[in-house]
Amino acid sequence: MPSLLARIVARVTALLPEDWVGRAGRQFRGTVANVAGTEKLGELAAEGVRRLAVGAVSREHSEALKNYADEEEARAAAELTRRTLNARQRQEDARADQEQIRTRILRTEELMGRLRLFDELRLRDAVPVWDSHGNMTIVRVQSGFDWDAARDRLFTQTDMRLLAGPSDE
Amino acid sequence: MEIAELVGESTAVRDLRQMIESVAQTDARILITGENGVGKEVVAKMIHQQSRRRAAKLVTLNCASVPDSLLESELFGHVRGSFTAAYRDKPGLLELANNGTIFLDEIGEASLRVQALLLRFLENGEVWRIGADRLQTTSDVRVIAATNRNLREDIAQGQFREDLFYRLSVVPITIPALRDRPEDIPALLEWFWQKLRSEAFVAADDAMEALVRYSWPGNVQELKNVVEQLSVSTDRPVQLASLPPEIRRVIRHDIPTDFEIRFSPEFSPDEVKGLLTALSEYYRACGGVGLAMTFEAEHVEVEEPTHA
Repeated sequence: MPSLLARIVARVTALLPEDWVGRAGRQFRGTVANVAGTEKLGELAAEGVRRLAVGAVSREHSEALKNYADEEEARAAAELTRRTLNARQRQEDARADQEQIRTRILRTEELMGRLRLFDELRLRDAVPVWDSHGNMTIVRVQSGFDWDAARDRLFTQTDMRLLAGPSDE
Repeated sequence: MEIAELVGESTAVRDLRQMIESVAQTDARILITGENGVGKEVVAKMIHQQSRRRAAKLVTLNCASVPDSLLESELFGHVRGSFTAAYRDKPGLLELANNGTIFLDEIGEASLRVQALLLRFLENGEVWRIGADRLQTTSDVRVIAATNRNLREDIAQGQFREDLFYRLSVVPITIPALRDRPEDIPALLEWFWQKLRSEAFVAADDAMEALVRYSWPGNVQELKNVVEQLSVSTDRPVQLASLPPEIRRVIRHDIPTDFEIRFSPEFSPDEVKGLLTALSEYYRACGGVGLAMTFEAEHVEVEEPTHA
């Protein structure tokens, strides 16, 4: 017997299209795609879902998610300001060694973000899958999902060494 | 012998070069892992060429390319009459590689019997040819093995010996997939093109963008094949239309900046919030400014799982 349920759909717009089509978006999409290790939803969960109608989220959900969307907007605005300031600072401080340090910091930030994303997904047994239209579905996977293999897909040996920090040698 | 080299200046490649340089100075056994086509043999060659054994041979054996019945004979050799086709004594590769290095590619494909024989060799360096009733020789060989399989999984399934794994994996080296170091793609294109056409690689902007954005599931080997194909079939600058369809496709569809994230109905709003926060924070950590979101509820009919 099919049952009727409501699920949340987030309609997402990437601010600054050049970020999304450029390196940041590429990295983001690639990492998210690597979690599942497959593009077939059916291999991860029985998603026997038929869309019936789209409507407003319930009042209690609506409040929590609206607050979240507002917070996210504020964070994006702050990031844009930080980036503008950084660009000015970089113009004043355009020394090669500083650029190299900056590259390393960005790489570390990306790696830490990847780790937090992985932990969050694993905590909730949630696996995202992109479809051919560029949309994402996040499914709850069964206990048989191989999270160790997902970790191996997401983190190289170099990443693991970076995460472990400098050695004592 | 052609000098093997790793092309690229990404952090991953620079780290790998440094690792190769330091392990080459030792005799430690090495297990190289990585997807197909990442260049495991190149790394093995570099280690040998930078080691104190470089004057001796580097012998390569792909364990998947030899039938299991012959693999033992290839490695350890045989004495005349030990089996029907053994018309004369034949030394194995472990003997031939004495004082040098043996590279055992696709070691995960070796049978449990060959694994047991290899283990015995790694423990004492003794080479017993098939059919021999006495010890033939000992061999001083550095062993480098490689695989694209998850050997820990194979161990759990009883397909690979755990003791052999630890003997081989004294220094584990993982080679990153090409999609994890896209910044090296232009240098690799240039390097392979130069080898074939002795001129600079020039591509139209959209063609270069497609080449860099493509995920290269076959890694460097696939890139090399594409360059070979382009070098005979196209003129400079390389155009988007000249690229194989699977590469062209990444640029043909504009990447929409609007998309949907659908959550399975069992996720609670708190879980949805937690997951969206992790995704947004990760996007910012990648260098993106942020993601704007609105929410809807989708009413869906879900099939109950059927139980046998």
